[in-house]
Amino acid sequence: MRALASLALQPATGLRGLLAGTPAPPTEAFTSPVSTVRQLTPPSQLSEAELIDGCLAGSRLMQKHLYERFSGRMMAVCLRYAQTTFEAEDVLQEGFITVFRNLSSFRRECPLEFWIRRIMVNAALRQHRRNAPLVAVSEGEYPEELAGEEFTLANYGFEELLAIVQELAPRYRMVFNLFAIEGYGHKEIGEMLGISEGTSKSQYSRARAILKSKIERLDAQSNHGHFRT
Amino acid sequence: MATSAPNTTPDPRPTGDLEHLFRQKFADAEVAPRAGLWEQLDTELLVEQNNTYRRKLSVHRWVAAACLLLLLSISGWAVLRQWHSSSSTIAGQRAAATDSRATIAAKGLENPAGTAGGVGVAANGPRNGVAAGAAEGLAAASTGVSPSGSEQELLANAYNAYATLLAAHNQRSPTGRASQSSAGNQLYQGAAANIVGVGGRYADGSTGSTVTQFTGNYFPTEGSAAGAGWNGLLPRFANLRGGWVGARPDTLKALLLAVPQPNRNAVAAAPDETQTSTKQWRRLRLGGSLAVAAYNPNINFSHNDGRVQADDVTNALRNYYQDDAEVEYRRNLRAGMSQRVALTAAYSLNQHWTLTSGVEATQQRATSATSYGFIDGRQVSRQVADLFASTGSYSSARPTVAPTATRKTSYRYRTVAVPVEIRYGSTQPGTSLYAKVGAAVGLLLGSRSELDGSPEATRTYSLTSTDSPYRQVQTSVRGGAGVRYQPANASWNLVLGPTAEMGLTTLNANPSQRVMKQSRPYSVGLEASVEFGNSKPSVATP
Repeated sequence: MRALASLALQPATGLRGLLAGTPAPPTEAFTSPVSTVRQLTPPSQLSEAELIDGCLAGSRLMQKHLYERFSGRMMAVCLRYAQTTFEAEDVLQEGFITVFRNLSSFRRECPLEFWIRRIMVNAALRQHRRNAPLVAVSEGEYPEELAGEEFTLANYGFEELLAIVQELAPRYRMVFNLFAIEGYGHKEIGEMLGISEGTSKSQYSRARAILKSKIERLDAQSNHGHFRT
Repeated sequence: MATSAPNTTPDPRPTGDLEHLFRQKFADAEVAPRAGLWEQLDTELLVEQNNTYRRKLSVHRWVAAACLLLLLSISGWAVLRQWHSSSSTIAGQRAAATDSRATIAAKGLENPAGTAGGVGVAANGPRNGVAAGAAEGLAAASTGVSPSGSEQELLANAYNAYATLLAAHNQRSPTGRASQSSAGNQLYQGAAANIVGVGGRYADGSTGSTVTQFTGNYFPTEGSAAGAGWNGLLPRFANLRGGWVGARPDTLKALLLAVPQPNRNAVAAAPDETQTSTKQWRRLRLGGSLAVAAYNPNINFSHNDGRVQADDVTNALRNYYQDDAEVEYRRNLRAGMSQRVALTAAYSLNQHWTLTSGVEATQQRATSATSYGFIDGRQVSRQVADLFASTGSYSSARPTVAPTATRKTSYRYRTVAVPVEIRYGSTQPGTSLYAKVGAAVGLLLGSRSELDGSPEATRTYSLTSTDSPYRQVQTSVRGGAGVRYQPANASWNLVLGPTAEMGLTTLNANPSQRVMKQSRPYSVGLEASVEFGNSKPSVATP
């Protein structure tokens, strides 16, 4: 139970925390309306405002440019929440449809990438609800000690970490992603997933323990010549 | 041998806990999706676009049908109400005319002093043009009769005078209804000849149902005149319908990406957005509007303080012409142009509902025409006296009364009002349809009534006028529908559509009708407004 209490006291320091500490982007990039869309400009040089205006004007080309600019990063997000690549692509497709449908409601007060990322997370949550209804887990079922480990960041690659996250049970994967990566609190996660705050803490604790053991197993199987911890 | 010291140099590479490890690796990761995913997404977008287009088209059709039904209902109601009002007035006129004739006959029979004395009652005490005209008419009609002093002759004189009045009334029939006028002439002339003949027989001592015969000939003519009357009052806003019934935004494709899709989970997952949305002032949009409409004051002055203290004969004649003037006034009442400017404040309650209020100033015009110089429920002209200037002789079967031209009367009303309206429609950029209903409380700042050709008869009322026949505080309900357009990323939007307004109170201050039968003003027209505010007034998180 102390472990759960310590979990609750941890501040949300995920991407949302990083966003809160991020200096505001140049105002012009997000608020200045552009009257004409530069069709001949290379896609990489198009500003976000130009992309948004082009999409709002119904330009399919601009929609493609926007997709190409963000699809790689969003695919990585979807893969974290999905169990397979096929499922991640479904989420990505649904998310981009939602993006284009609701782009007019984007108020340009934050970078477009964060807005799209939120949409992708919501799409993943919808997919999760459709595919794997959550089973209630009683609080405190998997109390684990959390503190003490230190990992050398350079020893692990994205693919192997993604693989062990995808091996998690869906409910653990969701809670871990939302808490550790996105930075939501357990109360918010409980509301989003339709579970209690205590259940969210419990599932996160269990997911964390599983991940830690898998990383340690990864270390044991590696031949890097030095200890990873 | 010295053993080497253990290597205790810490690993210089950065470390972190489990959360930091995953966050650092996942934050900026990129994985390219398969190549064909965009084509698949493109197809999905096209399907979505088509579905949205069909859905929007269906909604637009329903809204257009509802607007058409609303307009037809209002039009039908207005026409039926007008017809009912005209019928009621004609029925009242019939009753008043019957009373007048009965009074005339009774007065003639009950006055044994002779013709001179009987007419003198009216001639000695005229209080206005009507009474004077009536007296002159009676006197003129009696000039061809040898005074015998008998009651039969007196009655014959009275009938003759009445026939003259009816002939004169027939001559006053407005031009433009030639067939009805000619039919009326024949009936009137027949009635006059019949009365003269019967009067002659009656003078010889014979008896007959003169009044009954006369009445039977008279009323069908009035009935046809009444029919022409409410036909002439058909609302002129029929011309306005073609402008918007078939109107449909042709830029529906631009709407496809502007469809708000509220999602509960998204709202829960995006507290940053919703926190910003709590800034209430972002939902406020200021602007102005201009409306041009056809306005009909729809006043019914029937029995409105038109009675005077006089003898029965005078009152009977006075009643007859008052009613006739009121009928003619309503028959010739024409809608005029109403112009309304307003400063508005629109507050977006949510993505679809907008509350609008403000202050507005309105100038309304209307016209009518009567043969009596009838203005504001009163007869201010002595035109009636002219009716009897060339009446025919007693023996004439075809009275030679010259037709009296109608004189145009113009009305102008200026009001300020505070409207409150609620509008349903999209608040997103693009083109969308809207519908609104509301109410307004107004104050009549002033009115001006003019009689064509008689500037001295002009009447002007202000807020401080105590004798104004018009109600100063007025309430109304209004509704409208139309098209709202907001360019992408623009901070303004344009709203254009037809609007209709119906008064809850009558324009005249003291209507004599019961509440359910009162005639209330109405207007139908077009309204355009522009609003300025935040370019993204609504909150829509996916």
